[in-house]
Amino acid sequence: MKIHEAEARELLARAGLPVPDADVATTAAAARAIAERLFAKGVPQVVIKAQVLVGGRGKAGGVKLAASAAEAETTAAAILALTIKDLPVRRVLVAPASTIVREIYLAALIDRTTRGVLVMASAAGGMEIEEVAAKDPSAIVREVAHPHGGLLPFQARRLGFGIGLRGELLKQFCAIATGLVKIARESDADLVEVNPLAVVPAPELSGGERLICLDAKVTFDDSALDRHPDLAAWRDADSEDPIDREAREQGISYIRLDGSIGCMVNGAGLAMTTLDLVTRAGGTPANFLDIGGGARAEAHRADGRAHRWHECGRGRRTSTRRRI
Amino acid sequence: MSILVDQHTRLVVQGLTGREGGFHAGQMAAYGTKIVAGVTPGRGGEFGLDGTVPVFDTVREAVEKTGANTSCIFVPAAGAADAIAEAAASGIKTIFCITEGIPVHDMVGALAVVKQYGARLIGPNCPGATTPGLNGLGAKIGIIPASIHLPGDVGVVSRSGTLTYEAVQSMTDAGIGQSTCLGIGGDPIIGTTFRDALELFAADPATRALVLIGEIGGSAEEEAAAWAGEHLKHLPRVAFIAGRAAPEGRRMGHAGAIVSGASGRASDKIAALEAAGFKVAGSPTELPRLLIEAGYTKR
Repeated sequence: MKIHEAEARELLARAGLPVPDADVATTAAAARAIAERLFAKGVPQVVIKAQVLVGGRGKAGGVKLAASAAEAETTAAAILALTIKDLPVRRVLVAPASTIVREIYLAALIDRTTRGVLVMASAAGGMEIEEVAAKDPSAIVREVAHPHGGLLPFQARRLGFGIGLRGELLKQFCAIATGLVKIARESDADLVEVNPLAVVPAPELSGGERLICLDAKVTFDDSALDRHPDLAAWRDADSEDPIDREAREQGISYIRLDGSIGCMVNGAGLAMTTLDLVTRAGGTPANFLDIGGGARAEAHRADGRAHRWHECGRGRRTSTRRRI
Repeated sequence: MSILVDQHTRLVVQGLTGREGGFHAGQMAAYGTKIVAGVTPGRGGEFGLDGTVPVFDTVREAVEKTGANTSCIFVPAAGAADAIAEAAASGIKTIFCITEGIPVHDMVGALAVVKQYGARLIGPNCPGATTPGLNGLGAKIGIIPASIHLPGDVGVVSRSGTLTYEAVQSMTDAGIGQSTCLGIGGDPIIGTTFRDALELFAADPATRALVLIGEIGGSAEEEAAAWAGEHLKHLPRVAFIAGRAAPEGRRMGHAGAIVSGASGRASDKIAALEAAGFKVAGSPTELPRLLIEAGYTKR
């Protein structure tokens, strides 16, 4: 399950990690009120960020700066009117705009190969980690957290030294890296990514700089959501395809596709194979539907419903096209 | 000969008193598997499988009293990782976990315990393994239907359940029997990988050809292919990869079956397998023909 930046920020804040003094608004007026509060604290500029569960929101005009409360209000209104990759923007995060000295990448994630919680850090923050991995794999340092002890202090130090940190920043980095692993383990997250982890000026500190988690991405393990009702409540059901959502609520493994041949299959591997064979034979599958290897009559009935929803979905889409 | 399960298997079923555990234990016993114990905490002293198999509170007790050497776990997801750790810490060396939907962080902890005690885990979220025997008997652990098998010398390893049943059925229909058929599970974090399974088959003199059934997500097929290209040159080998038509970024039923960015794609897996000398089928029903084309001869 994916959550928005605003909730990811909240998760980090609860763990005591440094995050921006930000707040969420669903209306332009509320965004203005947050901006006024931040300006009153001496913040020179605020950033207004669309909360959508897709990448590339910056390029789509979903992240903008504002230098006054009035500008914050008009900017927030414009962003709240956007639709980014088919998702209407319903909320914005209003945060102080930071002066960034440089950017670091840091993430804790479940890794299939090492079968553990892998922590990755790179001095090339701000970029997608896949891009860094492709251009310069040696720029990424890695540690696998202890399976029961989390990220041990020496591991955190090795990561910090590995990306060239020293002194006060190293200490802060170690606390953040350890904290990310703790969050992953305690909240059953399969990804906790901070990008960028920014170095910002801090004249009040001896080193003159500090670290702050400027943006974060968190996904939770669907298999563990039952034991985290508080986190499960963060699901943005509005971002889901309504048919997918109904299927999920029924506990059915269902993915809507664009084709015309409905597929209802026992078991995920066989369901995937069915899509492959339909495609190979020149057909187009209308859906992926795995009713489970041990499915019983009740499951089949429920899945029949999923197929009917699917038909409804298609009908709605068709009528939309007609209106256009 | 075979791998992982045979007539020396002395099986303890963790979760024997549950509906799934009880049903499949009956199926396993009917196929010839020696089931010596059940474990359900709080139900020690009872008997399962029509009163024939003693139930213990702990795996340790089951091992001490019955000499169990292999475990099959049907415990619900919330307690399954703990059941795996308990089996390993109690001296069980081969642990099959059938349970689906175990939280992945629980598996990280359980696998560390498995490693610590030098045990082997198969799964979780796997169908188990069958070593077919004569007259419809043999040994099987897990939930693979007995009727699809034919005794033989082709090793089968797969990430999937029902897809494997289709593939094995098509082999049996073509008169091609199996040494052992092993399902390693569809989760992102599993105990025994494709590569591990290939190593086991490579060491089994009764396995004369290999079938690998993979799917999108992760890179386990590529890693196995790299190893097989080096070490399995003497064995005819074929493969099938499910998920060629799967959309990117969506989880296809199995928690592990997802194409993310540039990794986990079917096309890369197929290329890696072909480079390692596997003949890759476009459909599971083509596997028997490809086996013959790869140089396999029926005995």
